[in-house]
Amino acid sequence: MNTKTIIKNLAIELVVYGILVTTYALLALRWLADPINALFHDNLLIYAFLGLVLIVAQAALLERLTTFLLERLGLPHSESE
Amino acid sequence: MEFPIAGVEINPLYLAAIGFVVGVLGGFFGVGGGFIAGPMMFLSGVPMNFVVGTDLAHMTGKSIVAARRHSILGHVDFKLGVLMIIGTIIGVEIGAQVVEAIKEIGKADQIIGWAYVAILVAIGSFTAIESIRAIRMIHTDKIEAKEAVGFTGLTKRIQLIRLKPMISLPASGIASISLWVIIISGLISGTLAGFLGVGGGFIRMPLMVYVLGIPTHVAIGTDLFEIIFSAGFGTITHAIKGNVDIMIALIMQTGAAIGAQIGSVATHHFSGPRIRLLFSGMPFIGAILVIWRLLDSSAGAIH
Repeated sequence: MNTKTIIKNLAIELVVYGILVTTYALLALRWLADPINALFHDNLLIYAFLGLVLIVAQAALLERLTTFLLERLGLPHSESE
Repeated sequence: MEFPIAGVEINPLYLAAIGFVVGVLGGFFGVGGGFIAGPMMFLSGVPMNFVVGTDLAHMTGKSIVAARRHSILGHVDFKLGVLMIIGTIIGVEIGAQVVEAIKEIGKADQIIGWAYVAILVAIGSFTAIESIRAIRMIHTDKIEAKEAVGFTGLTKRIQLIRLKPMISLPASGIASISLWVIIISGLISGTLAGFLGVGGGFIRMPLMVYVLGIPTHVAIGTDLFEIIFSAGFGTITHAIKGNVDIMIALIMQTGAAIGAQIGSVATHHFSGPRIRLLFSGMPFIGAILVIWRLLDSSAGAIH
């Protein structure tokens, strides 16, 4: 596969992934900010593990979701390279 | 936007931009990028205790994204990564104990800070000299760019050590190497990381290339794989101590996740020596930032 195609595929993937991670962060800020703030003051142990889960979910699950969406839409993605 | 956990008000676009920059650098060089993200977060007003913990949190997510991308490109040696983690964990604890011992002597910040500068300058200088030599070798000796390393003496001696058990690392193209060499390498990088209070990616990557003889691209991917666990563990321990603002980390991760993918894919279009030459500038940037902080704190102490 040539460089131009790789860059094009990556750009498509990044646009979809970018929309997903940004939406995720905005939703987390809108709906989880207050409960997480309360948890920080009430129970740091649960806060610590929930925090890691949120980060891992944003990184790993959304990438899987991106691949799934691109496959469903019939668009090229990195795993098909 | 207000972040009540850290008690600061920061523009989220600035945080996402920091994430993006360290994401690109992390994906390309296989480092956490804490020595750049840390000062930038501190300058934006994030309290110092939150800087380290929050940086580790976003580093975890960024490393997952970058390591997965490197794994698709065939740049991760999972066996090597898992084995190095064993040494790294023990090493981090040893490094932390050394710090405690230095604290009892006094002036720990200055001693650790200048040791950090010395290590950064040594790594940067060595990598720069070696990579320039390797690039010259490609042109003069007609060596394949991917294989060229300007300093192989130590690697050859290390691979002659036949201390059992011997293992193979097919993903790195190594037929036989002592398990102890890998664990001790992890131990050394972990001790330095624990002593300096950093993730240690900038130590591990050159160590894997020059000591173990791992190809540069695989060293980068494997380092990122290891950072997932070290930074993840650090996130938990710092969060339990109340030093992580997960909302700041999530915003930074938005930029970092995209940057890490770009950085990771970019490695595919550069030869090992060129990546190492570009990498050699990173420790110098880190050293300048540390010297600035050290001189600033000295001036503060005088006043």
